[in-house]
Amino acid sequence: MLNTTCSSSKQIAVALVGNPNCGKTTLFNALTGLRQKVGNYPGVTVEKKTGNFSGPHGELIRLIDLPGTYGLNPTSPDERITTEVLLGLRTDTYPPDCIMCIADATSLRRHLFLVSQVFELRIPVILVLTMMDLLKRLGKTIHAAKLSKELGCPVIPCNAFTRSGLVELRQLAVKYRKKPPSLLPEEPFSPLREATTRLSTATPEGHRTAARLALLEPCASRLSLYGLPASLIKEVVQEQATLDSKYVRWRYITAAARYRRIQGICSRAVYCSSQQQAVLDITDQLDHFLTHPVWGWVTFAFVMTVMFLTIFIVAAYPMDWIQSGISLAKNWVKSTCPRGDLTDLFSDGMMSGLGGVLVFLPQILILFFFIGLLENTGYMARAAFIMDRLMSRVGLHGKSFIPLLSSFACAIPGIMSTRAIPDARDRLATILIAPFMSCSARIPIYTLMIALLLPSKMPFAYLAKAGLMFSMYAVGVAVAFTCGWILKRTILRGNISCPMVMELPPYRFPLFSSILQQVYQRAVIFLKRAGTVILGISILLWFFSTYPKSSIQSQEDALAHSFAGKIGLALAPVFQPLGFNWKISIGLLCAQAAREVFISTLGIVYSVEGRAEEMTKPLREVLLRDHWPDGRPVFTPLVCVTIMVFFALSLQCVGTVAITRRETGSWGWAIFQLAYMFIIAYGVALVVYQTGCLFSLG
Amino acid sequence: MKSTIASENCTTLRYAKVGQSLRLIQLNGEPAFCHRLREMGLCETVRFRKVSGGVCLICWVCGVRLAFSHQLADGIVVAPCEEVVV
Repeated sequence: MLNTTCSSSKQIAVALVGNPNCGKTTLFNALTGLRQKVGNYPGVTVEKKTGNFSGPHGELIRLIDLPGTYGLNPTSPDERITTEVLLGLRTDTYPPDCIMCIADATSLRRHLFLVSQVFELRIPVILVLTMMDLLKRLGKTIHAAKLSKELGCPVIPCNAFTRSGLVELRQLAVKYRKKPPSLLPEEPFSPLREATTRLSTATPEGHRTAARLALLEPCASRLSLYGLPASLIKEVVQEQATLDSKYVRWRYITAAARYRRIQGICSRAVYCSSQQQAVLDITDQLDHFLTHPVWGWVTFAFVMTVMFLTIFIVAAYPMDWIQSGISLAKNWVKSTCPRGDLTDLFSDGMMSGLGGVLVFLPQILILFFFIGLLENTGYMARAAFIMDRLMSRVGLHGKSFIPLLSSFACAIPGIMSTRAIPDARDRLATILIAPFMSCSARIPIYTLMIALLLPSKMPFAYLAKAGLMFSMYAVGVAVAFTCGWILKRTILRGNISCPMVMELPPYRFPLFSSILQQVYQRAVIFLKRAGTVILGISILLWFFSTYPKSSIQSQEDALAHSFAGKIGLALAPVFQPLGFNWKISIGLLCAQAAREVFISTLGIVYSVEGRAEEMTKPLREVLLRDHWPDGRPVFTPLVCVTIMVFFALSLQCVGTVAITRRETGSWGWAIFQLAYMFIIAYGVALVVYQTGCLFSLG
Repeated sequence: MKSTIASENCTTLRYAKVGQSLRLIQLNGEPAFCHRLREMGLCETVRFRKVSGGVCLICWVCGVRLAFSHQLADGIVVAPCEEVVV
């Protein structure tokens, strides 16, 4: 339905439009004071974001940050949002009163291509030039007044960091309402011009812009995206068929005419202080090395190794401090509070549950810091190309790599960033395999199990731990690619993935304030989750593992008699073939809400069961003392590896299920993902454990 | 306006020399993909430069670095031209 309602008289709607990675979100943050994620690679923003800012006289302006696009014919779900908002097709967003087109001054010619299409929407446009400092370094300047005269719209050079140009933007957002002239007043290719005229005659006024765009749409299946009535779509298809039958490359003529017009404008408004010849800059020199068929892979492996080593070596210190703090707090509660259920709830329930998870916060934050570094420097886009050949052998699109890499931090933003993948089948396959990437929530489980496996005093302990952790990530990647390969040859069989083309951003020195901001936001999210989901489950679990109380003297028997014990014992036969006892089964059940809960559950279960002197010992030592009734230790190296493999491959995250449902628009796919990942996790863990037992490793 | 591209100087982007300035002659492949390449700056009439040929082919097009997979580069027909000014 076409949304033609004007925004309310009090609030002005302004949309930010531009090519990917041109600085839209940086400007959005500067104008609104918000802190949306920015990065140095195309495709950071995949959904529209809104914020408010004030005009010079307090006028309320609603700013809409739209996903980057190269043109108004969308090829992926994120670009579709931009086209729909600009055409007024979305019921949740008013059509903008004014559009701020953001253009990177260093590649003005390419950016003006989109600007010229936006002009044809007949909505007031303000052109914002970013990266002017970089342009100056290239020995060039843009004469803004001359460019403004050529284009017929205001041109504002802007720097979000020094805040130059923001005042002018605030003023113009309120008062500028002049519709821009078309850069191509007449369609240059006469058969297309005649087709456009015929279509316009048959089209109601409100649909004419959409109909013109639809006529240039090269993909028939996407014609429904322009909000046109079925009868009009039929006419568009007929016109396209007529043009296709007579002319092979009719679409290119309009594009070429636009570039010619833009070239003329740029030649009059862009000045070179020195006639520089093309020379290789530092980015090109680095790319020779970082995208080299051999050195590219070596560098990629080196970056990953450094990341995992840092996670273990650097994080060990703050982890020890947190562990000591939690032990001190538990001691203090036990020694100062009167004995009773309330004291037990605080120490055994809340402190054991929360403390067990909080101790891993430093490792999670270091992981996010590294991912922030990769995103900020511009290496992320190169890594996508390094992986492209491997991805295409699996049947996935090279662009799938960025969502998969993001999923190492958290599967939720990873799944959302699949919106940048053009093909629906590639996108769905990526969504379905993304949770196999070991997210930060798995780090606590891996770390605890690795600590049980490898004592810190052994030689090269850190290297061995990092290697083991890396191998778990590799297991996830290998299974993800195998599943992707199977999915693309069975239920998601389709055309061969379209070849990869991507804009490579220049390498930039990382903006540490931005990275630390992202790390801080992740810390807040983690702590909120710890204070709500994990704390809530910890309290519930303490209750279930303490009640009903019995007169049994043995703590282990009392735990087995509790509600949680009964549930664990009922589940035990299911997980016993994997070498898991009933206490681990309780952990697996609770971890369905969130993976980290597994650690807090073990912390509570073993606190409730533990003797008084064991209460404040690290969880690792308590777990190593657990035995089967026949005296065999429970947490053998084989069981620890099996637990890691199970967690590496299973989907235990309510948030991921919900986001899969939202992105696929179907509960069916979300449930399918949950089920197939559980079956794979169980199957692989079973094979690992039983094979280990065959070789007497259990 | 039927396609009539034939020249002994023409080659595909994959086999063009690194460091060479090029003129785009023709885009072959799915119309949707050619349309996207034109929007990204790689339009017939554009001159650009191939700067790297590693795991991907990197070209300077309209002031930005575009990276192409080798498979895609096979469908891009180019001809050498004089030096491109940055």
